[in-house]
Amino acid sequence: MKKKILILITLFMVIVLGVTTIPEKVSADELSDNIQSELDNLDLEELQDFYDGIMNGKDKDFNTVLGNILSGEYYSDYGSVADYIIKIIFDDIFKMLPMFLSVIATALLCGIVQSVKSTFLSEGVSEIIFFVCVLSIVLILSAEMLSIWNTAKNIIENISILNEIMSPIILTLMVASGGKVSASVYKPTVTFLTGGIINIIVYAVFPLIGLMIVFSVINCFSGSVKLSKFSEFITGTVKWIIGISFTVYGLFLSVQGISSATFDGISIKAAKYAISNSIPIIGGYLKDGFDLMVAGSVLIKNAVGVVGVIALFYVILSPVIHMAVVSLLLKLTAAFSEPLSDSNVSNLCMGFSKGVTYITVAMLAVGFMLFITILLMIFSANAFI
Amino acid sequence: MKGWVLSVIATVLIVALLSLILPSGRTSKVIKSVLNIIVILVIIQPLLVLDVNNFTVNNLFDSEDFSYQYDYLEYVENVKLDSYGEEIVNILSDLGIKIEKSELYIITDGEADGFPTVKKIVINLENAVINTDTEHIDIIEAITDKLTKHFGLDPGAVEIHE
Repeated sequence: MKKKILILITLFMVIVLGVTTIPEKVSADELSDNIQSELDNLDLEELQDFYDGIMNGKDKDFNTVLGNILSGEYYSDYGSVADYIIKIIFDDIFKMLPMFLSVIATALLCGIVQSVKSTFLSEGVSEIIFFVCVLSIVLILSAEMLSIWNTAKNIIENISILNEIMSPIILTLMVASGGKVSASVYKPTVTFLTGGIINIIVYAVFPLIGLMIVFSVINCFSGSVKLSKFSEFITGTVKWIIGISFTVYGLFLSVQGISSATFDGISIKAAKYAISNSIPIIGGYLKDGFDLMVAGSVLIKNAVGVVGVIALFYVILSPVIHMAVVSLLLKLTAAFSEPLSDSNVSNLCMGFSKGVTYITVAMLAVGFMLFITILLMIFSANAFI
Repeated sequence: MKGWVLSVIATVLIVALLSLILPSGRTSKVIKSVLNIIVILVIIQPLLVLDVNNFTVNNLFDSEDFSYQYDYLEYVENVKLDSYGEEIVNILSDLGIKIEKSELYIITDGEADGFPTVKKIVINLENAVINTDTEHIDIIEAITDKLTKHFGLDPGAVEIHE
């Protein structure tokens, strides 16, 4: 008898547990179906084209990555990313090495000319030879500088394009998940980034950096024309412009994002309560189409945001490494040429290196601002649920 | 901008070359000072023609405004309206009335904000199956009372056709 009662109780427990676990599975399947139907109705073609164009076989394609993020199966192979970075570094070093060796050779020639100046050559002739040596170094390095300049402008343009593609998608999903006020706040913020910050960087900061490099070069040409203080003035101006833009944008974004998220969160909770007095049941939080839709929109928004961050990372990665390598090699060249030649040659290389550094900083500033924007758009809208 | 930079570079190159070929002497110092002044004038030349009065901050914020994906928002709204319909069917079912969703007509605020607000509900009970024993007028009152409380509507916002 006791055994029969025990068996009956065990059977009852199994049935009860089985019934209460089923809604979770049903909810997960319903959510997954809901997400798929939302994705079918969402236009992600532009983002897909951009992402696949940037990746170019480096990683999985857009649809695979998005699907993995949505199903929680995405993982980053840090080993292969690290290998890729190391490969870029060494490729760049070996590619740039001949150029920098020729600069060092020219600097050495300069040094030799300077040392035999008093013995074999007249002052005028030695000055002309020195002038020609410095000019040849400038010509060698200018080609690389122009290439870096154009690359940085292209990267910033790509960042702007990524922002223009991603923002409508994320803001639409934000509206769909109930973040109407947040979306209306972030819309001008995104326009501010694309139109304001990027325009300031491209049309004010970049030309000033170019001017800074030009003045550094001019200062090294001749002892009669001194423009080093001009160069320092421009350096200070560039630092202030980047710093102020960054600070203003960050403050504006943070304050607006936090306050709007709170407003939307309260509105949504009030709306949900008014509609269905929704109280989550045990084992099944998402009990109706309303919650499924909101949850699906939030998940897709987060996934699209993560994909955007990955795309941004790969947009910036290769150029930043290249610029860092060039800057370091220029400093190394300056270090080698200092004992071999006139101080003007090493100052020239240092001037170029500083220019490359500032170009990199300007590019990273824009990328970082977009990164913050995406993160805030993801996290502030998650406060609704 | 490009023209200005090239003019600065050209001026400095010329000045540097001239400094090299100038014979040394008292006059050369004067000539070098004049050449340096010319270099400075070339450098600050754009500032002299800068038109600050026509510059506004709005010039920097010149970018295309983008719009939401309204097709997607419409799809989301339809799904949410569908869930409202299910809510109404469930409420009527609790009152003993079996009705299809197609017999309901939900009017919302019409704003594409992702959360359609119900403004009016029209129910056609012609084809509904009523299982209750209560009197006819009580059913209508009960439905109106339940729906207005549930959706936060005015009593006149629920219209029932039999």
